[in-house]
Amino acid sequence: MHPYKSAPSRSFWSRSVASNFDAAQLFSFEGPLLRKRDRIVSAGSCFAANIIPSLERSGFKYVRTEERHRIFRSIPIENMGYPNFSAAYGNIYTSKQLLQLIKRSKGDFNPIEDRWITEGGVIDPFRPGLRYPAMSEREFEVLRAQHFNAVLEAFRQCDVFIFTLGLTECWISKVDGAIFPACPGTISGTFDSAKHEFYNLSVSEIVDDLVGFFSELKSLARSPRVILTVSPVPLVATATGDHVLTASIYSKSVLRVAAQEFCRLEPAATYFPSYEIVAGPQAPSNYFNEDRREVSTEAVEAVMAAFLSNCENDGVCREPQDDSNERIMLEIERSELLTPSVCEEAMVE
Amino acid sequence: MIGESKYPILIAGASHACCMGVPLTVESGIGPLLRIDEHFDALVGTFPRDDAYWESTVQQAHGRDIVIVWRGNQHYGRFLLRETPPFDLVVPSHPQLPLEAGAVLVPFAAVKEFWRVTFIGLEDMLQRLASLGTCRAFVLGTPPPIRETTVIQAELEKHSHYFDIELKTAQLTPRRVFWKLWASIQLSMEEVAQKYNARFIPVPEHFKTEDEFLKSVYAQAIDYTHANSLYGTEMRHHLLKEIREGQLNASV
Repeated sequence: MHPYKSAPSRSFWSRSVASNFDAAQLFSFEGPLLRKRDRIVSAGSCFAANIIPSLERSGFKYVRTEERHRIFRSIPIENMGYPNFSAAYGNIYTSKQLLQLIKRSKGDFNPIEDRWITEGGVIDPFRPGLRYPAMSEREFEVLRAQHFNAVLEAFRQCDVFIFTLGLTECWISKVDGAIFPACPGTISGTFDSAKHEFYNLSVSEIVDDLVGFFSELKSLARSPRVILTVSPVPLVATATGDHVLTASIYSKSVLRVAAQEFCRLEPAATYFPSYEIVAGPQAPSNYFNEDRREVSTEAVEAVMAAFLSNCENDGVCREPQDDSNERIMLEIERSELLTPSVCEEAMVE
Repeated sequence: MIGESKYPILIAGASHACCMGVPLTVESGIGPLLRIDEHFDALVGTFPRDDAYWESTVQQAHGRDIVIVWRGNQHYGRFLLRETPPFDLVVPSHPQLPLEAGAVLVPFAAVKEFWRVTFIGLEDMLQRLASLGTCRAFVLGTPPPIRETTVIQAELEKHSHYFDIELKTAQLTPRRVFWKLWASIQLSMEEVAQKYNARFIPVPEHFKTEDEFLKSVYAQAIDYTHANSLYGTEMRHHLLKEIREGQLNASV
């Protein structure tokens, strides 16, 4: 009898994709993907931020080590995903960017092009979209040190690290190989062909980066596990010279293979098939919005339903507790009550 | 308006203008102008200063030099008590000032954004004054904090029982952070002034200690948030020198 005879239904397209498709069945893992006691840190591309609210509502502990001070929560929040993740590193699009983040935070890599001094402030090339950039080099250095401490603290607390691989295409420094989250000049800074070049990561390079990152993570955290996903969001643009569609499929294919290779090498790593759920041929057309790039709410919900069905889950949905506004008012009220005992003007506020 | 006004300099503002001769309140029927001396008029009105007061400022502006004293106690009003966790900031003009150990660093740009709402009225008024084309507008810096926080602590203890506030657990914001917050307000006012072609006049150095707090000779005995009449008198002399005797750009 040949092996297909005894294979389960999920091994057959006709029985598990053409019919009876269940996204939760795509994934096979012994034991829950996440346990309630797990402290979760995540990073990745824009798609990665989608999972965090669902995790928190389901009662999982999402680690956050770098939130803005509560007294300043009345001002507009930071740009571009910086407040979304465990620390304010923003979107991490590539494996190389992730490895660079942990190395820089530990002080093991100090890019030569580490700041752009502009009229609008001292810009961090690795977080170029910050709404509140430093206004002096001293401020830049102390804020950066604070950020690195927060990154390291997040990794130290990490039981499970969820990383969404987004891109293979990137822009790097010709001088020391530092990788920028966006091509210099697109968000901030100035593109200089003498200093900056395009690079398209290969499967082996991504695997090496992930191995390197996990080694660094294990030096900080106690027995961490990794969950890898691949973002289904196609490229905004490609610098390869190819059509953006073929460049996107190539990129996602490389990422998918690299994720599989890394999980094969590392027992503590698991791949979760969010890419397949959203972009597979079985997916409904409404999993992408009209631009065929932006992932719809229905798609995110489908991914999270499949993800959470493989986690320890009591099924109770929790709204995030936030007593910060109440505390802020209390502190401001205390200050305001005391001050006008000698200055009535303060009552104006 | 180009060149010097033939009228006395008009000072408009709230409590931080009082030391310069602008009454906080007046009896009904008095005003809108009150002569301080041969060189200065005060714009008077009710307190708290309302839209009608600032409307009156615009109405009285024609052909005049106007010194606006805008608020000035925002740092006390919001941050008198030390936050938990404490925060600190780096002031661009003084980047090497020490930082409080264990404090969360807040970007200076974020602190300026926090103050922005307190300058909406000032922006509106400066814009209107600029569009008049018949006056010169100046925004005056407000007094720096005092150095001795024991004075503040004593006043807190005197008044706190009215508000049932437990002072055993309450701590004052460290004086250097107070100073940085004051500095961020001054810088914000300067930027607002420049935006509408008004001139910002900072508090002169001789009013400050070496580490830039308000000299005790200019502090009030009880009200730690305001400067005294000596400060006000000397500030008027400074304004006269800067506005009438100095080389300042006209607003138009």
